[in-house]
Amino acid sequence: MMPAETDPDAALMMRVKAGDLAAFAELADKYKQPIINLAYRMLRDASEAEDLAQAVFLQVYKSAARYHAASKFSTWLFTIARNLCLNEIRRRSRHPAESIDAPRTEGEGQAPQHEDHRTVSAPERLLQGELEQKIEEAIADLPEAQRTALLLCQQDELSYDDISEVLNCSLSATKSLIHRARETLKQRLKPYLRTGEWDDQ
Amino acid sequence: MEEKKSRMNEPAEIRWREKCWRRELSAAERRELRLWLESHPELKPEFELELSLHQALGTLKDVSVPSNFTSRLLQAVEREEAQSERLANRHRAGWWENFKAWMPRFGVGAVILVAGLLSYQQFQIGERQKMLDSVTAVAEVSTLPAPEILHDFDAIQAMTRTPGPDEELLALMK
Repeated sequence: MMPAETDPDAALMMRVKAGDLAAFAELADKYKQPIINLAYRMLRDASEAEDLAQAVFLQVYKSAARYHAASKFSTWLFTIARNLCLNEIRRRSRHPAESIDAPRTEGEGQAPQHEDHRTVSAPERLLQGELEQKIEEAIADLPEAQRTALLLCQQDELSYDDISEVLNCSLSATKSLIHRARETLKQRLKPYLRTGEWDDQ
Repeated sequence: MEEKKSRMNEPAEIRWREKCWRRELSAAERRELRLWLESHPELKPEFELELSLHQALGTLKDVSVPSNFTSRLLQAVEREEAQSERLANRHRAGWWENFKAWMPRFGVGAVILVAGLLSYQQFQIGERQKMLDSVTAVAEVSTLPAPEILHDFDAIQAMTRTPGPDEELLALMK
């Protein structure tokens, strides 16, 4: 729990509560990327991830009146995002034709356009691309709770306590989920992970 | 003794592991971890894998966000607000519109109800009148002669049940 005075996002949210659209735009600008990333890795569909992110922010705006300054904004936001993702996953499971596990054909247009600002050589880019694909696949195959825990763990602004609040489980259960997710990834990605190097730089 | 040493290491191991999960270790932290691992060489491969996995997860690219995402979101918010405003207005004005629409039906209903009530009232009056007539008739009974005169009623009643005159015999006697 963090009071509005120390959490700038909570202060912005209090302005949103008073009907300030500029404050809302500021929050959306700050969090759109992590929310779309999370939604994409939960749903495996770039356009649906974008729609879901919009739904998340709309929900934030509509629920602004219920927001309490005592709660940390990012925790509240990621809780809404997770709930909407779970709703979407449940909706898909009722309509198996649109299942997230359904195999996608190549060039289907669902793959996200990733932003890459790094400059690497062609073979390195190829290896890097393969590794990224393997990581994405391994994450997608994780059980939902482990996947969410792992993805939230990558968010700098969320502490372990915040993650456990979003997941609505105890701190030890949260750490256990992250541990199990990482163990699975290590097993699956072992051939691709570089070990034996101990660079201090 | 070995087991005790292992248990004492546990918090440090967990602390390092949780650090590796969250972020890239600084050069100083990596040096510190390396020193710590020198006394726990059995954990070195595992920590190398942890750090490598963290690096790999860090290479995951951001999904591209449309440049007009926020402006589209604000438009959606405005649409949402306009819609809820329209709904509120419709709700406020709705009762009068509904009243006007239902007025003829209310009128017909009221006429039927009043007619029904009047009919029921008339029926009640009629019933009361019938009851009054009955009470009056009973009251008149009290003015009849005393019951003693009905003492031989059964005998007189029996006499009326005797066979009638033999008309043929009477005719012959004439």
